[in-house]
Amino acid sequence: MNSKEFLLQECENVRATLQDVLRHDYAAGSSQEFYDEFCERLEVLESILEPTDPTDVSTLGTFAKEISLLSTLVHRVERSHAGEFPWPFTEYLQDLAEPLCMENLAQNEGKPIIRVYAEGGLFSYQINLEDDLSVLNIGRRIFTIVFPHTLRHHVLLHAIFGHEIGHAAWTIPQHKSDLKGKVLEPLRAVGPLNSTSQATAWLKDTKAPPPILELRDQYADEYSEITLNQLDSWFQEFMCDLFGLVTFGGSFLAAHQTLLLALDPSGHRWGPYHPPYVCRKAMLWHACKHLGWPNFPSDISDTKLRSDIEAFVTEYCGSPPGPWEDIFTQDQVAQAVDALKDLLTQVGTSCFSMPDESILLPLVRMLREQIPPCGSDLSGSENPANRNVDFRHILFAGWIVADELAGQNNDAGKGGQFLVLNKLCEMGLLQQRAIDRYKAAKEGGTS
Amino acid sequence: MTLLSMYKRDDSRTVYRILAEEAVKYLDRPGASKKRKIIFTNLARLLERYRYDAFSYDDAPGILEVFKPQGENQPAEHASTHHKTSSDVILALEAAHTQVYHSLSKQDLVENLKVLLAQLAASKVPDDQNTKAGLAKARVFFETLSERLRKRSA
Repeated sequence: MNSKEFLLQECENVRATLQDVLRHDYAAGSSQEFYDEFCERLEVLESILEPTDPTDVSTLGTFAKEISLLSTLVHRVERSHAGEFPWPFTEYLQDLAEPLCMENLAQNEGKPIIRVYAEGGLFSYQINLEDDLSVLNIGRRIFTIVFPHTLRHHVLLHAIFGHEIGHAAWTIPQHKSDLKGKVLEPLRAVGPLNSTSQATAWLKDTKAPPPILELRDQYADEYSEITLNQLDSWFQEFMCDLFGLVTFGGSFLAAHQTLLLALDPSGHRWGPYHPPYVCRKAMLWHACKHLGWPNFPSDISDTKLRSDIEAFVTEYCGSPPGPWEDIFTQDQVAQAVDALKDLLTQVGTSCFSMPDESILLPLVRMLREQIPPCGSDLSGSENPANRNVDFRHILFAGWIVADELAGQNNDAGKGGQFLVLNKLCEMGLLQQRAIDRYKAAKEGGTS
Repeated sequence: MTLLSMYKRDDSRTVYRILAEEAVKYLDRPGASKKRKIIFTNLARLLERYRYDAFSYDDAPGILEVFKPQGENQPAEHASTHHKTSSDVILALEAAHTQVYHSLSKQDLVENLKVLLAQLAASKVPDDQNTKAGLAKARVFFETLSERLRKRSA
């Protein structure tokens, strides 16, 4: 069997696998779209491969990669069946991401197909974007969102996907151009990360915090220099953190801190793609200040809620950063945040705003009573007045109560309580989705 | 260990040569099919990147990947594809642009071609002289693009 014959056979194998995965139940929505898109890709690939000269090794090498990608994709989608991920959360995430990720193409091709699956350990939070220019065969892009398998129902932590939305937006050429000019430009204009030489000098600063000095001593090869690619990646990560903050608000701050510090308790490690957490936190502190969030508790009249929110602000907005990690000025961050909010508003992706007390207090009370938090009217009225609640406010309420419970010591165990809270919030999102759909249908909108 | 390891190569040159060749075929023989829709969609994507100079490709790592310990699956293609820019494709596009459309701005070039590609994909091409002239020129553009890419592929 020569290479071409083998590749044509593999196309058949991929088609058979696609038929096989249909045995699962999938959440409503994009399954048909995925199936149609996948079949189209396979047909196109076969039709171009068939007439290819068997000695054209360059083209055959490209096709081998294309077929392998299809095989990987079908494997991923097999894991995206119902029960493997919190689908009400995912639907809200799609609502946020879709307008932002719409490509400027004719007809329906610009709208991505979003699939979700749970796989791997704590490090696997990711969005795969089909952004490779060397891929031949894409009608509609298929974004696959990956949750860690053990955390698949931890919707409070999934607020971290606000960051991944930023990576998705970066793949749209027009957004990329706007983000470079309006969001990254102010951040890159001045400061220690203004150039690779300055960045390297900053890392080698003798006044750097002790953990940095330790890292440099211990791992001189990896922690001694910053390259241009590295710097570009770091800025993309900073930008994506701002995306997370602006789209998911308080719940992003809490998820970001919880996950990143769990894996790097000192917060000072860095890598080829990611800057040290302490610098990201410093930038977010400036951003929170610009958004006025530290003043939010003063708007709350309920004493208990106010003190809980104050505790949340202290914990997650943090305190003024130290001089080494404070790499952006307040003005730089303010410009970047405002530009990002403008961009999101223009494309129709709603930014997070702090909830009114009239919204937040009932959600928090429901959680304290172990009731899924949502806009359900539980008054017992004959005509219940259910209301729309932004799903991000449900997550925010979840984090406020999570911290309240974390401050208590009881037999249930904090970890167990956190899981229960997540499940309650997941149920709350599910119920809220139903309320939203009912109201949209009643008002004559689409559901 | 995996069965085979190779340095990652940039296939974009081959990919866009194939797409440009296919586009020329369809411009010669208009008609509707799923295949041409995908071909034209991918070329429209390429043109959008050309318009905004958005060629760098960043395979975004997961937010927590910086901490990934040895032994956990690493994304196979990160290290070598990060910030790949497909420079051959950019040069070929610029050459085809200058050779066929001369001083027409990048913005206008992309808009004109995208409109034609959308009409072709939907099999709704107006039967007028302007459109015919536009299609003929587009054909030369894609032919030039494929030739440029073929030269580099050889």
